[in-house]
This record gives sequence, C-alpha cells and structure tokens, in this order.
Amino acid sequence: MAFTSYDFLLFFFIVFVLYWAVRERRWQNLLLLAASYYFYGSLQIWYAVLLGVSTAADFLLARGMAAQPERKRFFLWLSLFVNVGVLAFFKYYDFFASDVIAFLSTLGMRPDLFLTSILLPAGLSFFTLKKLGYMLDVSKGTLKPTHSFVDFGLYVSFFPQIVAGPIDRPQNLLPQIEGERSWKSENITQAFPLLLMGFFKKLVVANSIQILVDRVFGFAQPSGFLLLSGSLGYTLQILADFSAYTDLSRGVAFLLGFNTVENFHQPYLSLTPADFWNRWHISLSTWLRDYVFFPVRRALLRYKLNEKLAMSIPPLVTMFISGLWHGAGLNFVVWGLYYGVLIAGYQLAGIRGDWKPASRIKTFLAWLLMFAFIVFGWMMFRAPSLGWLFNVIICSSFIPTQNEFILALITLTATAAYSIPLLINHWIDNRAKGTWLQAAFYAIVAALAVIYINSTSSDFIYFQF
Amino acid sequence: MRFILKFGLILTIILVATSILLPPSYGLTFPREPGPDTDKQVRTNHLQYLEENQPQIVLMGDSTLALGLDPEALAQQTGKSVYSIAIPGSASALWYLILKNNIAESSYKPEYVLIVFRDSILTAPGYRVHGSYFELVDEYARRNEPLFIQNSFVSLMNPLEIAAEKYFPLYVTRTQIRNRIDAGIRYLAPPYFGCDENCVDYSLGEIFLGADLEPKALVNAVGAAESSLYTPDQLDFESQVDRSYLPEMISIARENNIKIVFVRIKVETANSSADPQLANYLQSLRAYVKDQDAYLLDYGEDPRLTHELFRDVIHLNEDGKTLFTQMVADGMKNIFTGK
Repeated sequence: MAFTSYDFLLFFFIVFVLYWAVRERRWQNLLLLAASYYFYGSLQIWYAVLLGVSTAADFLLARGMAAQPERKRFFLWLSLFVNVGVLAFFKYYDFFASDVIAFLSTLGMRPDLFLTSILLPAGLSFFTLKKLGYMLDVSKGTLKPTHSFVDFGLYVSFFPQIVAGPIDRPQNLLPQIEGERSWKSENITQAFPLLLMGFFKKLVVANSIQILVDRVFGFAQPSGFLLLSGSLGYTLQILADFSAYTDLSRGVAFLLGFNTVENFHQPYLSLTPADFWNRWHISLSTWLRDYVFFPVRRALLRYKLNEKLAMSIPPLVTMFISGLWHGAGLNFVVWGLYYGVLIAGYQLAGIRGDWKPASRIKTFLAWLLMFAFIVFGWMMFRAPSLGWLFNVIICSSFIPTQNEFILALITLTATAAYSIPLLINHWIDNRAKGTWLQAAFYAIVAALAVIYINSTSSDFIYFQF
Repeated sequence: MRFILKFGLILTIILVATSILLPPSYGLTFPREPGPDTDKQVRTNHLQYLEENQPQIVLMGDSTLALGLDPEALAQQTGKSVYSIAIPGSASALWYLILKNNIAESSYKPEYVLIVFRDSILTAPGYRVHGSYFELVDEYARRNEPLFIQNSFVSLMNPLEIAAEKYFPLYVTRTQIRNRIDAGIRYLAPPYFGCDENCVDYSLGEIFLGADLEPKALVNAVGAAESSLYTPDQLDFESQVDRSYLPEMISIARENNIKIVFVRIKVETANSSADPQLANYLQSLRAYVKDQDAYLLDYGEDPRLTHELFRDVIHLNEDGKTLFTQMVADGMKNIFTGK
C-alpha cells in the first residue's frame, strides 16, 4: 500500500476519522497500533508476525534491563544478537540461498517452496534500527523503558514510518506517543506542503526521470558520457523519491498530531562529505553517529591510538556499516567505504563538516567538487554491479554513439527540467514563504501532480532497503 | 489557514480555466463515460488474409508465440495450413478484439484458433492496454466496444478515478498534456546538435527496443513488467474470470463453429510448483476450460523445455522453438483424433 495509492487514501481516511473521534490517548494509540499492523501486514501477513514477535522480545528485554540491572549486558547482547541476526539473515539471504537449497537437495529434501519465497521484509532495516536505538539507550541509562507494550509497539510500528523511515529516536517519538494529542489547525498547515510536495516529487519528478535512468543503467556497456548523464539523472531521482517518501510520512504524521524527525536538508548544497551526511538521510546519519561513530572513536581514544588513525577509523567503520545497511551487493559496501574515505580524507586535510570557505569562488569550487563526489557515489550505488561499472569506466569510450548521445541529451534536459520546480520551491521557501507567490506555485504543483497521476506508480526506491 | 485558502483560490481558478479551455481543444464533452475513446477505424488485415488464404489453424499470441512456435513446421507436422498472428506486446484484450472483429467477421472460419498464453494472462484484461499499448489495441477496436472499455479500464478504476474520468477535464486530458510536456523535453536539445524530431524518434526507438540490455537489467525489466500477472488478486481465478475476456472468447469461438485451444507456454518468471497460488489458479483454469468444452494444452511446467532452451526468461531460443513446435503439433494431433 504505497502512500500515493487509492488504497492508502481510503485506509488513512478511515484511520484519521476514527482516530480524532475517539480522542482519548489510550484508545488513539491502540487504534494506531492496529492500523500500523494492518498496514504492514497488508504487504505480507508474516511481516506483521515477525514485527510483532521481535517487538515483544525487545519490550521484554528492555523491561528485563530495568528489573535486573546486573544482567543488563546480557539482555543487551541478546537483543543485539536477535536484531542484527534477523536483519543480516534477510538482508544477505540471497548470497547463500542457492547454496543452502543445493545442500538440502543433496539430502533428498525439496526446500525450494519455502526457501525461494523468502524475501527481505520491507522496512526491516528501518524498524530494526529504531529498536536497537531504544535498547542501547535503555542499557546506557539515558532512556527509561516504557511500561506500556502498546506505546512501545506503536513507536516501532508507526505506519507512516514503518516501511522507509525516518528512523525516529525514542526520545522524540515516545514522549509524543505517551502524551495527549488534540486536534489543531496547525496539523493541517504543517502537513499540507509536505503532502503536496511529496506527491509532486514522487509522481512528477522521480517517476519521470526513472524511465531514462533505468534505460541508461540497463545498457550492457554504455559510453562514459551516457553513464555520466544517467548518474546525474539518478542523483535527482533518488533525492526526489526518498525525500518524497519522507515528506509524505511526515505529512501523514502531522495529520495525526505527531511531529516526526526531518530527514533531508538540501543535501546537494553540501561542501564536504561530513556536511552531506549531516543533510542526507539525517535520521540514519545521526543514528550511526551516536551508536557507531562516537563509540568507536571513544574506544580508539581510550587506546591512545595515533591521531591520524583515530581520526580515520571511525568514519571508515561507520560508513562501512552504512553501506552494509543499504544492501547486500558489493557496490553498497564500496559506496559506504567511499564516503568513509572521503570523510576521513577531508578531516585529515583539516576540513571539518562545518567548514566555511573564505570566498565565494572557493565556496563554489568546494561545492562543485563535493557535488561531483556525490554524483560518482550515486553512480556506484545505482550500477548493476561493480564489475559493470569497472568495465564501463575502463573499457568504454567516453564518446557516445549517435543514439547514446541523443539519450544522454534527453536525460540531461529532463534532469534540468525536473530540477527547476525543486529549485523554485527552495527559493520560495527561503524568500517568499506564505505569500501569494508560494500559493500560486503550490497550485501549479497540484495541477501538475494531477496530470502525472498514473495508476501504476513504481515503488519508492528506499522500500528495498 | 489563510495560506491554504490562498492556495485553494488559485487552484480553483486553474481548474475552472482548464475545465473551460480543455474540452473544446480535445473535442470532449462533459460529463462523459469513463475510459478512453476508441477511434472508428478497425484494421481488417487478418480478416482479409483468412478470406484469401483460408488457413485451417490460426495462432494468436505475443512475442512468446513469435519466438516459440514455427507456423510452417507446425503446418508440416499437423498436415493443416497455419496462419500466425504473433503481435509482440499483445495480450488478452487485443486477442479478444482480433477474434471478434477479424476472425469472427470473416466469411471463412478456421477450424482451430490456438491462443498461446502464459500463466494468468488470459484473465488479465488490463494487461498491456495502457499508454503506447493502447494505440496497438485501438487498431482492432471499433468505435463502440463496451466490453473492452469495461473490462480493460472501468472495472480496474477506483471510484475516485471513475468520478474524475466523468467530470474532470484536466484528469481526462492528462495523457495528452503529459505527452506534450515529454515532447517538449525530448525535442528541446537534440535539434541544436543536428537531430530533428524524426532523428530523435528513430534513436529512441533503437534504444528502447534494442536488445543490448545488461543481462541482469533485462531480467529485472521483464520481471517488473510481468509482476502484475502474479499478484494475489490476479491469481484469484474465480474473481478474475468473469471480468476477463476468457468467457467471451470461448463464446465467440463456439458461435462461429471454431474450436478454441489455449496453449500455455513455459516461462521462467514463475513456477507453479513453488507458488501455491499460481498452482491453484491453473487448476481452476483447467477445470473452467474443460467445463466450457474448450481445449487446453499445458506445457507450462513441461520438463522437456529446459533452461538451455530459453533466450531470456520468457522467450524460447531456436532449439526451444523447434522442440515446442513439435510438442504443440503432437498435442494438436491428439485433439484431431479426439484423445
């Protein structure tokens, strides 16, 4: 049930009416929990079962930590083992599935029916990090475990976030779940631009550019120029697609009275790699910063390691894990390490995340260099395989054939054309917020969304992670 | 809230303006019946061929037929003349329209019509009728095709879409407007490099119809295109059959004294032994076809069609074509002799 589907519209309408009709917080939470499990179970019923069992396990383990502080570490390791184990099993299952099937077949068993139908549950990567963050905070004593299973269950399964985040922290979402919520007109005024731009970015921008990008990355061996144009297209597509999902998620949450975490802050205006990760998929970046980067750095400082090593290892480890989290393919791992190397390299050169160049020219050059790094990163991320990318870079000519040149031109034109509304939105947000100009822009955006509505919308890219 | 009121006011102006300007521009009147308008022209090339050549067997299907069954070899092996209507990108809606508007309209009726299909395509009336496929299907549709419009479009719309189709000019004309926007983008830059609209169309045609796809990308693209045939709703035979063209195709064949044979070809995108829903669907399909006194030749799980005989996940290679033709010929001989 995608946010842009009629089924979701119907589902949300019913939930919305009932939710504000019941008014009492306890019943509202119970309703949202039921709705979240229905929403998630509608993808696959066993997804909901897996979610329910793993949520119950973590709830009990967290309660165990509070009741028996002396066994805290045991409960934490058990939770880490179960959560990371489940995530790793589903995420990397494809790597070993064929070997397992072959092995069982040699024993005379017919495992195909069950094993070939195992798929990564949508959103597993997201809600696992939510639960892990909760468990780590409870174990550190920075968060008191909640007494209510309904509240904890809702925190984990909250339907606007379950499939593709944002990965809201318990410190932000749980107090809102535990607190009273009343209907305010701000719910609509805050939700409205997010929902409108979310629809627009998904239906108009991401879906349109996707057709061209898929074709470029579908070539057996495209020219370098075509690959570059496709990578620029994908740079726009992934931002529009993923930020659209976040916008819709936050918009829906606002309509239910929740203020959930922001996930993007103009990431392509970054000047450094660290700056980029402070602006891109912010909820994941901050999670990795708090639960991987800082602990690794603290550990290294404890061992009084060489300063350069102490500076380089944490970003490498953090971004390696980020790459693994994004997918089982080698290109995701290399993509993660690539950012690790970039962050470490910038830091060793004395350029931190909050670096501000002295002049406009330097700022522009820093931006241009970082943008080139970003585009190359997405090229790796989108490539069918690293071997494919290596082959194209090493063996292909940069000069395209006539047909490739035309496709590259159209891809570049489309990328530029579909970027314009996003740039206008950015400008209006900064310079003309709340004016007639912004109202007119949104009205045009709404009309364009109607024109681009297609009953067969492709899924959000980040669902697969 | 004042801001939302401003937005609402401007949006209303846009909608009123488009509601006034768009209908005359596109020759539409509102309210209208939901679904696309088919044109008056009907291609009758197959009708003419039937009347001139009088083949005893007519084959109908998409690219899996074109690449999987050799009509000349089938004619030799069965001893009956064969005419193949293999249209890449076609599906049940187009087969229904050709059967109704060409084969049934012909003064000569073939003895057998074989429809080569895969898995649930016979009960997927909305499969391959949208976008550029519509132009293909429309070639064989009359001006008034209520069953086609109902099955392939209206029955698949939600209530909001139906209302928008009836009363909302901007929504009804969205495809044409979008085509204009796309064309604006497509033809903007190439002329500066000496490539006019024809040159752009030719290049894009070469690129999007070309076979130089990376193997994994090809499998993914085919898998994505075929995925709608394997959704839980689509594999619920009982709920799908009455809104499909299957009953009507059988009925048209019966009324015209034509024996209709459904030939299920093997593909590697799905496997009923690993998919209980597909297995149930096929069981119901077999029972239905038998109940209707039609024929079903099911090679969907045939072990003789091994992986080596496929050129990609849904198309047979030359060796596969030879073997499959032989298998169908054997199946037809059984039908001729009433086995």
